[in-house]
Amino acid sequence: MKRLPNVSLKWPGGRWLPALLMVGAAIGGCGSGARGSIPPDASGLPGKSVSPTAVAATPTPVSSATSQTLPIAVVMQGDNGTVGALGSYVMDGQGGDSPWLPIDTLTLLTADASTQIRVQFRDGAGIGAWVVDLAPEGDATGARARRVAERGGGPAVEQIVVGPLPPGRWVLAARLFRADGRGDGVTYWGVSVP
Amino acid sequence: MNHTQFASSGRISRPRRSRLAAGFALLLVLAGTGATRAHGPDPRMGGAPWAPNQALRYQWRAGQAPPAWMGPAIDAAASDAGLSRASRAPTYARVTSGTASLIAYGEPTGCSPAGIACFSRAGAPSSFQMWFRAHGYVFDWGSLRWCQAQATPSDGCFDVENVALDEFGHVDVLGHHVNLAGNSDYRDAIVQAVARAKPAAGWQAHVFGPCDTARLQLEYDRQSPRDLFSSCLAIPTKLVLSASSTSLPTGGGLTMTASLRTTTTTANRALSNDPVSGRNVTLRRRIPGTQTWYSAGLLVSSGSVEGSYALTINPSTTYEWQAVFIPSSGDGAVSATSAVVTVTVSGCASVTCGQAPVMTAAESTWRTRS
Repeated sequence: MKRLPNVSLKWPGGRWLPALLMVGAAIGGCGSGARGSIPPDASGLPGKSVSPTAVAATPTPVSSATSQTLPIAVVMQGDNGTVGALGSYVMDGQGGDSPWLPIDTLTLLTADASTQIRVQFRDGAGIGAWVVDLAPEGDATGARARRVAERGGGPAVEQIVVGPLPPGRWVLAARLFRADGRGDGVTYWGVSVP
Repeated sequence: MNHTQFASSGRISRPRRSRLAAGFALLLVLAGTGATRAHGPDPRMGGAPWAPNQALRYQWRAGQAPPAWMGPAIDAAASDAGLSRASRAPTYARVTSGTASLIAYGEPTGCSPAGIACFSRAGAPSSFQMWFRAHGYVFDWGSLRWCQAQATPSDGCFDVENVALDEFGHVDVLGHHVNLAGNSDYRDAIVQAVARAKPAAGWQAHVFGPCDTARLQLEYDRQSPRDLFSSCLAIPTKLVLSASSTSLPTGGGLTMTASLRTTTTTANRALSNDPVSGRNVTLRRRIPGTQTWYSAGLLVSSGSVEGSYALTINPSTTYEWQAVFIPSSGDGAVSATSAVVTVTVSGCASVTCGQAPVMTAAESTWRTRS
């Protein structure tokens, strides 16, 4: 079993921004599928900086050059993202199947009780639909997972926003569907909410 | 605990702008159009389809043949795929020579780090590939155990036949099913984004579920117009009623013919404008100017023309006629009602001429209101 670094998420004074980011992305995302990695200021809102604090570990930079054929997702902190663990996926006529991934195999994020979690494809591809489930840490198979966000389709967005999540330690499983129809994948993170 | 509660938890104590943001987010979350509707047909994977009923052959990859305990389970899954497809999706059979697709056991695989099995249908409509991780392969979450490798399958093992059927479903064209919140409909599909180990519900399912066959029917059509539509579908139908004559003498013979087909729409994909046979289509009638319908009997499915139903009667007076299709339980078709056809009866051609219309036993017991 391996445990990857803890990463804290907090956007003080900016709790409303993630949702606005999503609105902006939705407005600007129609009709386009993959569009490369997102720019540093993905919000399109000049003057609004997103500065994570209390970072306990160095998050993985968003990469637009590697593994673009896998529909893997990242949790964003400012310009950087924490890549999750890819479970089952399909992409370009290929794919694989995995069981539910338990928390002790996942990158553990720490989010305060007011933090909304922003998720996007690592390669910045537009998101057409999503299903996000949350299971308590003791649930090794996802049997007790609850739906926390879902959309069946619509205009492409670059990010989705989940939460705030209730206190506890959770497995967050975000299944994102590429807006261009090339595929989808379930990406897992551990999330600790004090 | 659900999404709504999460959203509302922020509304009680957060500043107003936070509440607004949560509202925006919720609106966007709920703005789906159904493209990947929960409990709908499995999503369609990209890539070329196979030909209808295409017979796909596979063999073990050289040097990576599955062990004796695994091969028969993969072959059984191949058989399961053909037997439970409820459509013209491909069939699978293993061969030992000649050109065939390849199935491999053990490393190297084309699987992602967490994958216990994987596939490629990028070669469609010519070939596919499939890989299974080896028994004992070490993942972050533990060692992979295939149930068939164990004399007594232990909890946490994965059933080869179930997982292989999932892979054959992918090869067909199936993406992972989108379950309802709480996964209450997990058993409605084999092709799932979370593989289940013993003893979780569905771990040993060996037939495609209705939401698997729904997608297979949409992409490959049903085998026969008489076959039911998957119960995971809601296929609109259209019913057209015609009369052999719209004017006839009293007591004259009248043949009412109904045509039942699926609607012509791209959403119905391969099922578009399909004849629908072998269903119960009822003929009903009413006196012009009235609202009450009376059943005139079942239209009989034609043996020669698919989707055609007919009934010959001898109306005693002028009626308005209508055909009604109500699908049986388990049929994923949507009910349909035809337009009204008026048949005028006049003059005398039989001994009943001049008598008032008689309510039959059927009329008194089967009558329905529109």
